[in-house]
Amino acid sequence: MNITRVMAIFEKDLKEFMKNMMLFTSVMIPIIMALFFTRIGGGQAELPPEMLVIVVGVVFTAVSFSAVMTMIAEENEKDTLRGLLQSPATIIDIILGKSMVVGLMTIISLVASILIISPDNYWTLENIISLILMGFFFLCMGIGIGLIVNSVATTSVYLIPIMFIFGFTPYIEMIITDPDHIAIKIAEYFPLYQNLNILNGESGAMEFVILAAWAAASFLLVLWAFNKRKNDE
Amino acid sequence: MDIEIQNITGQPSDNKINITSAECLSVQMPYERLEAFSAAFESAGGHVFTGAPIYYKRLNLKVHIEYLRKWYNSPLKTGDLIQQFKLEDVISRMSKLNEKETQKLNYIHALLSDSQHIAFIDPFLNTVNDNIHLFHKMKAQLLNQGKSLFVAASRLEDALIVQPGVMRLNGQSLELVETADNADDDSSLNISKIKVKAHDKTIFVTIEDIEYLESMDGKVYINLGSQKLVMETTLQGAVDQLAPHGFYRCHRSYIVNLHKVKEIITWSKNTYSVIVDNPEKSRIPLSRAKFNEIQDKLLKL
Repeated sequence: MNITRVMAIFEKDLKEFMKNMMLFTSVMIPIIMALFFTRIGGGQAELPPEMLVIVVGVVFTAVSFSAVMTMIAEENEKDTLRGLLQSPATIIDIILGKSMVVGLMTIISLVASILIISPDNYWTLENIISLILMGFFFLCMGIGIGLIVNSVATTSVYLIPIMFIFGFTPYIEMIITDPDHIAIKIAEYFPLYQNLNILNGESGAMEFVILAAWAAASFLLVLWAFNKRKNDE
Repeated sequence: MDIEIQNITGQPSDNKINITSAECLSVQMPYERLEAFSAAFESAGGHVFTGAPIYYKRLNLKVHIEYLRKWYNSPLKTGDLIQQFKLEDVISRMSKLNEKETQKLNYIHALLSDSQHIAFIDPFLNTVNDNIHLFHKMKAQLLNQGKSLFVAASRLEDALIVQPGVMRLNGQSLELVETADNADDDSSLNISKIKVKAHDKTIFVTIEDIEYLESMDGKVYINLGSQKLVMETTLQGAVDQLAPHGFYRCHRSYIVNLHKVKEIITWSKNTYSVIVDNPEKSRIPLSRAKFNEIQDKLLKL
């Protein structure tokens, strides 16, 4: 790993992020959603944790996941990496630099939208740890898929299903009303439900173990995609 | 650094292309081998630049140079590079710049690259004369930095823009394209057309329509602006026939119609081109030894 290269990528991609309307508007989506949500019910009632979790889900899918996936896919598509990638070590520098940009944007988007909603007792240590684990999970998933796809257009194939499955998980209760249904039982193991339990203060060690498992699984996805790409070349 | 020739041509050969630091090689090779060559050059650890640059279209030239400079940890200064390569617009996005400007980024990238060996593939296919001057500037600087430069061109006249000593890649090895100067004969024949074969037809070409003749792989090609025809003669034979009509052998492999010469360009101390007055502004190589003689001929025409 070469720190100067990571920083070079970070500076370049930060400038590119600001000039790419598609990426930049994705940072605004959760903030606008938060503005809408606070107006519900005349702005007096406290927003239920389910809504907070949805905003968090949108931040992670629309910013962390989507942006890193688009950025890596764009480099793949235009082959801009080829000239720079003279050794496999440099791809790690590139991924790190891009992750830093996306990480920064995620934090901005998340903190801004939560501040707009301003719920009580949100920034607890447990919740922050769960947010970090989830951020890592979505970032790794974006990197993994970004490495596999060959073009920006293909990323939208992955974006919508993953946004619905991982970003809007609690909405499944609106489709399936039977609480004992198998789909609900499965959905309860999804990352957003862990965050919801932690927010509701009903959490034990189990929630963190499940989140860590998701994070580990997504990291394996990155390793797999990385090897697949290396073998393809 | 060595590159096995059999990796490029696919034919069995023990020969290698030897690339030494601080030296420049200019090689003419068939178009269809260029891709295999770049792959072989890259896997040997060199840095290959092909055609139009692919960079980040939303960012401007200055950000690109800054980024590449940091990436390669190069001691060169961004401001100096912008001045040296006469970058006019460093603020607009790349997508708004014309190819002439973006091409310069390749030259700058080559200077910033940390690879010891640089290769350019057909760098003069879509370029303007100003950029060829910059290319020569870059060449001098690269050699100064102790890097090697390899130019692979599909056209001989392009390879000769780089330097007078040019190699050609044939099936098994690299061979020097001889550029010794031959003496001209004087025999006056009063004809206005010459016979040229194209497939099964025999075409009679008006001599004054010919722009230039080139010899390639033992054949003589006549360039008539829009078309290229094969002539069944040697280049020396063509000179004998055409010299009285104002044709001049400006290079071992080229004869140019002096009436069609627009200008002569000096790329460096010993590389010159004759520019033909046609829409493509074809660049014909000019031997160093003929540089003064062609000027006399042009003045007395």
